[in-house]
Amino acid sequence: MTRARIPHLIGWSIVAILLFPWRAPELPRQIGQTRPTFVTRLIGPSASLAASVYWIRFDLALRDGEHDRAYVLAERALSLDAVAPEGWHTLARHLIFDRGSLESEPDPQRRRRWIEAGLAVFERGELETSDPGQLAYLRGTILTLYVAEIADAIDWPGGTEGALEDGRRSLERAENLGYSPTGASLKSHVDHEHAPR
Amino acid sequence: MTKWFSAGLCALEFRRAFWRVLSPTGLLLGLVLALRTAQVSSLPFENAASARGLHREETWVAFLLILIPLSVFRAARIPTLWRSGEADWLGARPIERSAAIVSTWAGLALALLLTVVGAGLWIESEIEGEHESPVFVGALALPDPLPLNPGATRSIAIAGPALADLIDTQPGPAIALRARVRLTILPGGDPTSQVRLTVAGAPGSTEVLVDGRTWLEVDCRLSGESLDFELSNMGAGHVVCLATPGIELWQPGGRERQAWVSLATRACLGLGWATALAFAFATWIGSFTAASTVLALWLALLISPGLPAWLSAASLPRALAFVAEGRLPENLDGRALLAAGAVAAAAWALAQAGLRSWRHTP
Repeated sequence: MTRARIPHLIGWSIVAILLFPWRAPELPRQIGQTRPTFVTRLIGPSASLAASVYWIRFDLALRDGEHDRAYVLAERALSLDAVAPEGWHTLARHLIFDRGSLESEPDPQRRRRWIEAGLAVFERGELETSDPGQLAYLRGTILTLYVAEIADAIDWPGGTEGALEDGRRSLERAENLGYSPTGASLKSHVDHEHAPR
Repeated sequence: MTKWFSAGLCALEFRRAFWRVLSPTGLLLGLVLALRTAQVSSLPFENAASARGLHREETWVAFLLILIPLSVFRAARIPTLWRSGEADWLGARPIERSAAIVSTWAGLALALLLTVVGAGLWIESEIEGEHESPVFVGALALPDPLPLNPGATRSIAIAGPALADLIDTQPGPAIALRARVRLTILPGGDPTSQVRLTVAGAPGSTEVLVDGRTWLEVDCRLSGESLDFELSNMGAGHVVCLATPGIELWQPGGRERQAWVSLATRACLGLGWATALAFAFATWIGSFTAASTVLALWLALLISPGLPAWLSAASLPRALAFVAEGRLPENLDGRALLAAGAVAAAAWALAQAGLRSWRHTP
């Protein structure tokens, strides 16, 4: 090795050493704590744009019937931009209304699992997004206005009451977080509609 | 005594190319691997195979996107370097001009080979577990899309030369295969439809609820000189079996980790002829124009549909698509090596004519 190469080698060794901590695992996240991931810190304002590219690929994969691939792409998009609630909503809506639809999944047990998976995406989103109230509201709306209606058909744990109770809790959480898109309380409406007579 | 190969020139270009190509590609690869995200954990099924496939595909695409232009530009720059001063000591050496070309290109090719192999091993080392993966045997496109109206049953047969083109049909033990077809639902009936794929003479069949586009895959055994399939639409939706890819045959028993060998072989062959051509063109025209021409040619091969599989550069996107699915592309046949060799030989002749004078400037 010539002497001229030595600074080269030292420079690249420093780069390699600087790269090493990037492989360290993320620290466990606290509930309600929004903390940018390593990737978002690295690519900064481009993270949202990169996530949009992944969401386009997600749509294309779904159109091609490549569901497994689509879900990996969605997860990549969410890891790049976990703050925007739209991403969580897109994935959850697909799982609940597309995969969990009667036409796509006639088997009640499997249908219930898709819906549960979609609701779990909302819950995950509440921990990471900048607008957890919106996701809590959407979760509550779906539980009270949709899942409660089909609860018997998909053998929902606790039946209609179980879905309504879970939905009320979500709507209450949304209200506590100050989210109310119509100005009126959907939870009060649900309480009124399903009050014992 | 005149030498026909110069180990010194080969080593010189190896060192130069290795640092100029390896440093940026290594840095990029490190970045891409560092950005890897965890697999989905909240979904009601296991999709680790898709996560591994996507990770392999994305890393290889990022790696090749930087390696290919760097290599081609590096190859096109060599004649310019020679003419801008290096010819003074190169021309005075007891070495044939053709040997200088071959030795230098060999040094570049060796550096690229080591870079690709190193990257392949690095990518694989980042992916955990050893998993089984089917290997692509071949596909038989249908002459037309096959409509499956509600209640209809249609037959597809692969026999004779069409089957012999895909797989060895000599008498012997039955070969275990998997066949798959691509189905899609049409408007006009139910939004979904149950379709069954059966192999004639075999007990098994597979059913799928066609909801948009769907693959339908079935196990079969090849023991004769034909494979007969039957597609039955048992629902009330209008389904079509797509003409392309038609019926794909896969052979189980491959290992997912072999993916890097398939991709590295195709990448190395493609880089081999591309760098040889870039070098040859650069002896006649400017290095930037020469490199851009070769890259445009490669791009044309990548996006042109229906090119033969032995064009290694053209088969790279399809190989990457299979790897993304967690499957393995077919092994390259000897024609791919011959084609790359023929291009390299033509490039050598072109470069020799272009370098008739060390002082000639394009």
